[in-house]
Amino acid sequence: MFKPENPIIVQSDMTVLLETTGPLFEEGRDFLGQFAELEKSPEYLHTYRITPLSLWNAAAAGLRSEEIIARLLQLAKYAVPPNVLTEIREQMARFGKLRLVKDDESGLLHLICDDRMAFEEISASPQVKEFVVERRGDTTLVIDPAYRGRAKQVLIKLGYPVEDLAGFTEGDPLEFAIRPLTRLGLHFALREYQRDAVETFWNNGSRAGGAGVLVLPCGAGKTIIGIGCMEKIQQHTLILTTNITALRQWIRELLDKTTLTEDQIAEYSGDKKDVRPVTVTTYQMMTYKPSKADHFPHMELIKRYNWGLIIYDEVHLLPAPVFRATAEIQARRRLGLTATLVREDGREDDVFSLIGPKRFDKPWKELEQQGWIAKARCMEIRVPMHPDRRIQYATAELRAKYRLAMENPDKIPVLMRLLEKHRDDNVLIIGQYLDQLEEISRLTNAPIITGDTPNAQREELYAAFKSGKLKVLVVSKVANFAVDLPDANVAIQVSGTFRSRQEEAQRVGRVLRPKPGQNYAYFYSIVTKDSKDQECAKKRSLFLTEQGYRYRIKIVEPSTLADEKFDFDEAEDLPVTELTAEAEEAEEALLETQDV
Amino acid sequence: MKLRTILQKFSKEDLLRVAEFWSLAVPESLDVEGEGDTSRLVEYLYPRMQTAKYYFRTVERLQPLQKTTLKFLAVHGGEVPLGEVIARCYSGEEDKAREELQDLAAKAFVFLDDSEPELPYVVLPESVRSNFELGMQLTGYLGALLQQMAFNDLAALAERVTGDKKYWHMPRERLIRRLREHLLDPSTLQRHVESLPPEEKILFNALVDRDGYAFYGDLLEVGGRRRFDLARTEQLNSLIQNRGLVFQVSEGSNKYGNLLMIPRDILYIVTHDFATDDRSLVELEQLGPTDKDFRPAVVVDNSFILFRDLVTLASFIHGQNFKVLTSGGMSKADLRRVLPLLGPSRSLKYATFLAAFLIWAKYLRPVGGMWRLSDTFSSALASPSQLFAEIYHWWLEVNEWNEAHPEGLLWDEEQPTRGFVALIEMRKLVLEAILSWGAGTGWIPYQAFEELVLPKLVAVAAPTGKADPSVRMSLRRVLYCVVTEALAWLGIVVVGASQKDAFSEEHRADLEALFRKKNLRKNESAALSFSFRPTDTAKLLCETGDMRPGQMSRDMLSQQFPLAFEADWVIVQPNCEIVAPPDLSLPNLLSLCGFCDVKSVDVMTLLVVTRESLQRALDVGVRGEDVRNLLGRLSRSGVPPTVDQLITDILEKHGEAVLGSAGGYILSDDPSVIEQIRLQPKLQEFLKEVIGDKGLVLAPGVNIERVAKELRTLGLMPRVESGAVETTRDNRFHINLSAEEYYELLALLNLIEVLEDELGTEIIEDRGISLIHSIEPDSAGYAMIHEEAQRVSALYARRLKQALHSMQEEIEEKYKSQVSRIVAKAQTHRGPTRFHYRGQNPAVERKDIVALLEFAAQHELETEIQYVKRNETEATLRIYPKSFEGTRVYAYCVESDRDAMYSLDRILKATLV
Repeated sequence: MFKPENPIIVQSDMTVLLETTGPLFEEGRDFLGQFAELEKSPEYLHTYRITPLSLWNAAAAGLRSEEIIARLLQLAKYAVPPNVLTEIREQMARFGKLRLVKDDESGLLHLICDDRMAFEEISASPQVKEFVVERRGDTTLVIDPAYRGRAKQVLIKLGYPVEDLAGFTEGDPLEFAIRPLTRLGLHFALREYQRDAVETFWNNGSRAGGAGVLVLPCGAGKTIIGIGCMEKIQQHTLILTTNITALRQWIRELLDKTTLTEDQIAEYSGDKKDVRPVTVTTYQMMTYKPSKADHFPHMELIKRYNWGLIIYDEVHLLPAPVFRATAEIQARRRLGLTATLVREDGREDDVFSLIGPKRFDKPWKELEQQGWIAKARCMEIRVPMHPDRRIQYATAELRAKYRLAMENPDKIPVLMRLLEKHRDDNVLIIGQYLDQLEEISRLTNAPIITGDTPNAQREELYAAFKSGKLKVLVVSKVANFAVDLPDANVAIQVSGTFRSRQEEAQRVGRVLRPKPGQNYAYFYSIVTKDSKDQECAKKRSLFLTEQGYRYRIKIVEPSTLADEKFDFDEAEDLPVTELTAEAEEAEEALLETQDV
Repeated sequence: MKLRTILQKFSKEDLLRVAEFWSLAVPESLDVEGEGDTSRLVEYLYPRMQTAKYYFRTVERLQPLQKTTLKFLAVHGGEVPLGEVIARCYSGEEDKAREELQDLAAKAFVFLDDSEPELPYVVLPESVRSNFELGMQLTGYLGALLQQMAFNDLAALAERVTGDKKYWHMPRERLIRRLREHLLDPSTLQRHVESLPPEEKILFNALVDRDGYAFYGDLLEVGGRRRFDLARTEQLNSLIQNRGLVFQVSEGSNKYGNLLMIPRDILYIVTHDFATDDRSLVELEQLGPTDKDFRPAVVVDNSFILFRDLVTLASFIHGQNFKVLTSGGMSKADLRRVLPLLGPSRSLKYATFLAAFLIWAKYLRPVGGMWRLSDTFSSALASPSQLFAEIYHWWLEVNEWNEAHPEGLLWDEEQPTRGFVALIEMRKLVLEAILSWGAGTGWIPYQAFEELVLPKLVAVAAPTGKADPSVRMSLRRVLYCVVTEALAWLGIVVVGASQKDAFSEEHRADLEALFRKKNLRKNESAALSFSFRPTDTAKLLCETGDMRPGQMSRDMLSQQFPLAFEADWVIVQPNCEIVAPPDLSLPNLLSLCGFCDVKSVDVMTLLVVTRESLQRALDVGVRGEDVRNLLGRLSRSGVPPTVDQLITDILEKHGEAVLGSAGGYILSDDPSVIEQIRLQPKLQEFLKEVIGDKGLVLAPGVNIERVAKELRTLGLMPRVESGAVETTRDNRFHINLSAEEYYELLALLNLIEVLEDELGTEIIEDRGISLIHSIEPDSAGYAMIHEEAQRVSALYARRLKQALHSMQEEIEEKYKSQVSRIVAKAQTHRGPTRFHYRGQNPAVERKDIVALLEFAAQHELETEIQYVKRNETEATLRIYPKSFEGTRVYAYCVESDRDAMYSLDRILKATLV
């Protein structure tokens, strides 16, 4: 069976390849996105992986295995390996086999299983016995509500995801609305996909909604979606973020785009320990312990108050102690926001059990084509090393080699040349080594933000950069996560951590937010040719290439630097999907206002 | 009843309707419009109607129920009472049955014989019956067994069973009908069984206890009796010959190995308390069913992966320096390294299987103690069908692979054969069994298959008939290995199981442990609960006749067995991955493997170009330009800049340090590279002295490869100069040869000159001479070299002339034989002529055709045959039959002036001329 026009190729190891060049690509992409995780998306063939979790997520979203199989067979280029079909059937049949419902009279939870074999297997498990109050017949186990999260964690590890239909405890009410005009006086409304995400999460307020994860790329407006969900629920909300900058960013956005007032929003951080109807804190605060032997003193914040919603920003970074605390508050509504479900520690199943299944996913490429995020142009510029430094490099210890290569002073003329090219743009210079960054700061007269820069000064610099008073800003790795630099459209990386793929993605993410006009973002990585720097950059760029960014490589010689224009071949860019008139109109307004 | 006899009862109009339904265009020369008799029309129709080609084509047009009826009749020997057909095929619906049967009769598929009005019969013409290939589960019914007996045996048996002599005067068909009616009537059968002499009854019951099958030798030992107990032998012989209850169904190498069985319908009646056997065909088929609803959780289908694995393995062995063991093979440790790259069938045994074939076929050759790919491999890949033929024949007919051995083949010790010398025969038996099961119909449950095939394997392995439990278990392993390993690896069957780990390495290890025991317990035998089904490859093999090993022909296989590996595209991704389709042409895949790492062989083949893979390729002489050209040619979307840049980088860096074995040195144009090497503590022991800033002299006796390895761990890409060939900076080659090698080289160049003289043509023109001049030393001091080279040249020239002389003689002989045939034809024939032939001339029945061709072959007579060609057109050919091979005749064809094979099935008519 060979259907050349079809875009999907299913491999027996549960990976799925999607051809991007045919007319059925978009159909295939939308279809695969429903039940498989996008692993990589280089230009011509995207790779998806079907996992039990991705299938359970699909089942949670209401998809049936037979629908998936029928469509898969229809869109497959070659015969689909039978083991894949069996796996889809088996895994999807598992979701819904176990349902957790609440007995309103006793307040106890009932774990119901209609499959006798599975029921016996589960009942016999010693880990399950720990939280079972009693067994009722051949279908029901009665569970203490305190173990709601733990039960789900244990059962998913046994291969049985639980459909949690036990509902939620209502939090204290909080009335507020999203402003049609922001405090700054600009028009504001949720984009269509943002509204879809909110509706999917809310699910008409039913027990099947109210807990889950929304997956959107950097720059797609996850904060806005979080605010949208808060508005639906209208209850006290706790927001957990990755760091203090992101925390303040949330507060700023809430104040700017909702009717909430300063006395309704609190910062719970090292500086302030306020608790108000909307409280924003960091994972760091939650996991702080005065000493190793101590408990987490601030974790009580999660449990003590009557929250109606808890938002986990960048849920893929959620630390283990917060998981534990989350397991105890399963009666609260929970919203996870992230750009990727992949966790370095492999605890994706805990996210599924404790925060909830994936409720919404939007591939960045789709948003890029629709113009919701900027089109990224990436270039790796290789700079040779001076022969004297080369000798020094050749004979150095390994660790010193990295530094010698990354701090190569011959990168500076290239940087200056790029700054000259982008003199009208807002440029971020990002680096790893402070000596190098300080030197750059001195040569370019651009201010620098490092870990030591006081928060007040940081805020001031960010504000100047936003307002356009400052065109170039030098930042260390502190700027990697959740820093809002909406007007940066050029990022120049002069040195990076050894092989952190995450870092590269985050740094590109800094410039992806939509730009007026051409809507292009530029990312340059200056590396030393034939060195450890180049090797590290290769690993990092591989990740970006696999995410679908076009990555060009340019080798510059000092002698030709003055003539070098660092141009991109515009003909190679993928076409941007035309926005509808309505969307275009809305976008014009939004580009000015929606900067998260 | 013969088809011809049946057709002779048809009117002209009926015959024309038959011809129309069978799509047989009646030639005008038959004058069907005229008033003449129908005999010419019958003579035209019946040989065609019994040809398999026309028959199966027409059967396909019948209704499903009609096809079932034909099969049911074939199962029971082709003669079944009308009432029984109505009851068992039409659930008693008489009107419907009569309607369908009348329709079948009008199309000449059945004949309704009402010559005995009280018991009308539905009869299948002989040719229709013989055309049915019944699955193994549908053989062994009384009617069919009786049809195989000679008239005298039948009459004698009928007399013994009934005590009536009237059967000697009865026509054969009627005799069979009466015997079948008698023995399948439950009450008469019960009386008959009860009247058996006590000892025979013991034997009969023993056979019933064994589900109706037993070896002659085994039955003799029933009740603790000794095999040489003559009384028991007589009793058993009497049971077989006189009672009609036990039949011999396969012949062993002696009588003790003969397989005996109770006809399935008799067994059914006996084991069901003497109830009537009224099972329908569907019920009968369920005894050994193909499971159409089986949905396996895991499937091993190697049909599209075998060749890719072969290429991957071969390329890996070539590039990774696999050592040649003293026994001629390669080590397990080496082979294990390749497993992660192979397809889903990956196991050490599978890799060993492929490697053993590559060595046997000389695609891998030992060079300097390492296995290296021969150039012939690349050209062999251009013809996948031929390659498949080779590997298939190697497995089937070369007794190297050993299914009786847990590891299949051992290179590092003498192979224990454990007495199984009949493996080839067993493999063929398994293939026959799969074929007879009905290829391609659905999943075949392995346990049901084993149940039916194992007795036959026992018969082959233990001709004495003694089914020793340990032998039996070993045979179970052989059967398991043939099906789940060799046949699955070759892509002839697909195996599938409900248990996901059914074919995992761990599972196989567990099974192996079980096979070592004498008996599998019930829960252990559940480990064998999987199914398999023949693939499209198997179907093709069936069509070409190669699944029937007796008819196998290597050349035919490769010509008629198309394997499409014709795709000429890949996708080169910016992340340096290359995704190749499953049918990428194999030479291209081999080229890609030469400079890429294989990541996985699955539906698509995933490869990746890495710094290391490119470096390895450059080390073995692959050129950067070739890599670029190949990618540029194959890539659908061009070569992405990232990949192109990687190639450029590696080309630039490769050879940044040059290691020379002659003299031991390291050179580099980059002083920092020399400095880096000089300061490396690990390299100190290898270095002797520094020469300027661009060279290092190595210590005497240093292992160059070890130094190269150390340099690679430093991130450098050294080029190691071969000991025999060194390149200079101006791209000249310095070749280092021993005296003997030098003489050989000169001699070979001289030989070309001799060859040109002998053939009187210029092959390489004067290039040989000028090359000899350029490599011969000028100095007179080297005269000895010249003489020695001349001596070797003379030796080669002599051998060449001898070879040419033999070839000439062979050609002369061939022409003489052709001339003598022409002369003989022109002269009066002194030997027997066509007039001496007593058989049918012209012959249209198969047996008559065979007899006529045998006569023609024996007396070198020209024969005219009417033949259905492969393109389904008919042709009249003149041939001189020579010999027979299975169902084919080997003959000289006058028209094409060459020898050819003709399928007997396709000869419609043969005439001596």
